[in-house]
Amino acid sequence: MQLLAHITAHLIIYSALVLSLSFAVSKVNIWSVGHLGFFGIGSVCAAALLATQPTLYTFPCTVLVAATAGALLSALLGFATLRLKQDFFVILSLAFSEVVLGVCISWKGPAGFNNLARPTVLGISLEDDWVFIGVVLLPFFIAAGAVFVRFSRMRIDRVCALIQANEELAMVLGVSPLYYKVGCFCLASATASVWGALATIYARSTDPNQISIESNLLLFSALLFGGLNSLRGSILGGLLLVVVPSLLEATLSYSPFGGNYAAEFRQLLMGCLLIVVVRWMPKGLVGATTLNHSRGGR
Amino acid sequence: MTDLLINGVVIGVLIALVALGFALTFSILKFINFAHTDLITVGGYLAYSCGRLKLSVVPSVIVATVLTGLLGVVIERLAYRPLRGQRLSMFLSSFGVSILLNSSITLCFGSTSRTLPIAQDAVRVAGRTLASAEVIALCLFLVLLPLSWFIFRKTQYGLAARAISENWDGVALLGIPCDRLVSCVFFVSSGLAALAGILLGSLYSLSPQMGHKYGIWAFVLVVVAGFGSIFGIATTGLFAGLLITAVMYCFGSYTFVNAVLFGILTIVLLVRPDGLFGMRLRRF
Amino acid sequence: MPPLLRVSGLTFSYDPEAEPLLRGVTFECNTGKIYGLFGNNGSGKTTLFNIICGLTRHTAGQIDYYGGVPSSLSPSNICSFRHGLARTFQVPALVDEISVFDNLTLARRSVGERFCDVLHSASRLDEKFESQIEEYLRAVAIDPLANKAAGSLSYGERRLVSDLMALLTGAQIVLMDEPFSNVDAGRLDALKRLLRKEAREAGKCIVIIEHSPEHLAQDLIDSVFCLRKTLVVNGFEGSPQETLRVINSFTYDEA
Repeated sequence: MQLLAHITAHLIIYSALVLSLSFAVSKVNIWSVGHLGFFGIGSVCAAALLATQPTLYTFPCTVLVAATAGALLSALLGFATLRLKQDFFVILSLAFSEVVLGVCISWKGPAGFNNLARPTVLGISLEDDWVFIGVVLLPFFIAAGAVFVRFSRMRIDRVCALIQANEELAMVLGVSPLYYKVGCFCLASATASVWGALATIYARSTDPNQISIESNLLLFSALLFGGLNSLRGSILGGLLLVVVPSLLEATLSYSPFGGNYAAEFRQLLMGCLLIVVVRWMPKGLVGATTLNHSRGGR
Repeated sequence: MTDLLINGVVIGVLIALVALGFALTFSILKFINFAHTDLITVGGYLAYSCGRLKLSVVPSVIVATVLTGLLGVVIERLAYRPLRGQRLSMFLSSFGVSILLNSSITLCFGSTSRTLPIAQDAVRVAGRTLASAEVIALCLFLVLLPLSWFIFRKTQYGLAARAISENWDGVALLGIPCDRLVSCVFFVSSGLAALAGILLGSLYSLSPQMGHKYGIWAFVLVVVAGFGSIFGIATTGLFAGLLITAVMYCFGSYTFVNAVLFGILTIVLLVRPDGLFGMRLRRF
Repeated sequence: MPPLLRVSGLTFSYDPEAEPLLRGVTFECNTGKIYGLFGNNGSGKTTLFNIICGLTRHTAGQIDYYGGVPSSLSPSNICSFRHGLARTFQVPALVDEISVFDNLTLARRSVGERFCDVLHSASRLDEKFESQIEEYLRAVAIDPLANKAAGSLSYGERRLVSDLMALLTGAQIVLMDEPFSNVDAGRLDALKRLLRKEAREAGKCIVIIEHSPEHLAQDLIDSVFCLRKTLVVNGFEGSPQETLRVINSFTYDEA
């Protein structure tokens, strides 16, 4: 029962992360390869607040702080660098994630914060995992999903498609691509930040190792597997991030390789899977668009 | 003090070698080859294995470099060639390759650091004691960088390599074997990564993560220097090496190195979006 | 009535040391007129358009739009300044994945639409604009294509849609880069009629880059510019035969 709760919670969190990345990648073609950096920021904000004053800082406050931190930082980063060539931004994004990792580790060490208390919401205690999922995680995810779906139906989605298709045409039609790019990037990053906070509250601790380069790559791949620009695709991506490693780990523990190296073997298989999928399934499993190749550089 | 200086220069040199290899593949195929960083690790571990197989120093290095070069060619053939022209797909494919290489190495060798006992003996140069690995690194730098500059600026093949990224068919029509050229470039760039990996492993330590650690510095270096010029990479590399050593000396850990590099990267890109030595592209 | 567009002393070169491509280009465009911009290949016609709409920065000179200058010289600012500026590209620019109709709805962004409008549902546009789109599509007889994806159109059809998009923005200054290329004869007349109507009735000033002088013969262009580094012919207005002669002599002059 406990395990099931863990799996469900992780599923929701990862799906939300994939969805948030989708805002940046599929709407405005920003390859935010360091997306987990914002997850880390939200995570650390929440942990810092909860560790210092658990009773003073209530739940909404924590989430708000995380969201603001993510939004501000991404806005700064975005305005400064989104005029650049795509490739430069990728490296910048990755470097950013590494910096966040470094800050996390130097703040509290490789083990991160531990033994944080879960705050209460409207008087409801969140100690039970299922209650937490039902009261916090699910509603947040439904909200995120609703925003995504609504966004796809608004004119703003058409304008984003225009910016991706032909920036010069967009400019001549009076659209300023930079504002839209930064806006979507902020939305994506603030969401990741919020989910970082939620994940920290759920786990009652932070784990800086989640923000590694490999995890970033896997998140990006999950977006591709599940499919870009689609809510179902994001959920599928989350499923892949949760289920496949567990399955692989379970089956591999019976293999001659033994349980010791299951994690690496699983990664190896995921690497192969990634290469294969990119080659033969460019739309992902249920994606609505293919990857935007021609716009890869300015 | 001079020790720090030498240390800085050596690190800078090795990062520049990696950056050079990376810039080569980027110029040719116009995508970020993420797996390049893991080839550093592969090179280091291959040399380690050769050492365990009782090969002496020089053959180990040669074998490791050549094998890594060939591995680079194979990777290009299998993971990038079928996707040519689709930059994001190639980029993601390189993710897959990177993960693959990383986990393979961890599976084979475990995740603890090891030392690479190559070129560890001390050498006296100009009154100072250096590890011979450091000397080798400096020599490589002084030889390879001008050599690559010469090849890329002055020879027909260098010209063709640069032209390929703009106009594949045009170059092919001139009778130049494009695919083979691309394979050559991958061989050379992977070899450079391997050499850097061997030397870094010898001077510091081998670990499955070393490729990513140094690789990110090399990436940042290439972006700051801009993709247009080998001389730019060389000089920026030297400065970067000195800076990294200085930061580590002051703060005692790697974490601030990344923060400082990131800060400099952002500032440079704000002021000079094409990189310090980048080819000036027409802005509007 | 002040000129809608006034360019004075415009100079531009790609490379500061090389010979400038455009030198001291000066002209005015008034409301209700259709201008033809001629010049040999490489004479800088498209570059001139790029500079006017802000995609390229000129090295010297001044451009006034509706008698004023926008606060920021970014293309999106220039094109939404006062009564707007519309421009088509030599290679028709459309969003391939969506339908022709949806492409044309994007034109509304240019003049008069505020940011909060993009937060409305994509399928709920104002009916006046939608019927205007349909009217234009019918005017050049491509209404059967309204729901086809823009990527599946032929070059000539894309050209027409792209031209319509520029007209639908409602901008008073319209720059059209070879609007007739590959358009079939039947639709060509309809397009010209539409352009004349836009100029005369809506008071727009339309500048057309053209290669072939024959298009003048049908009483389309009021005034002619011929560009070779500077405006060799600047605002010549005369009968179609005289205009034709001026253009031909300009073109042959080069050889």
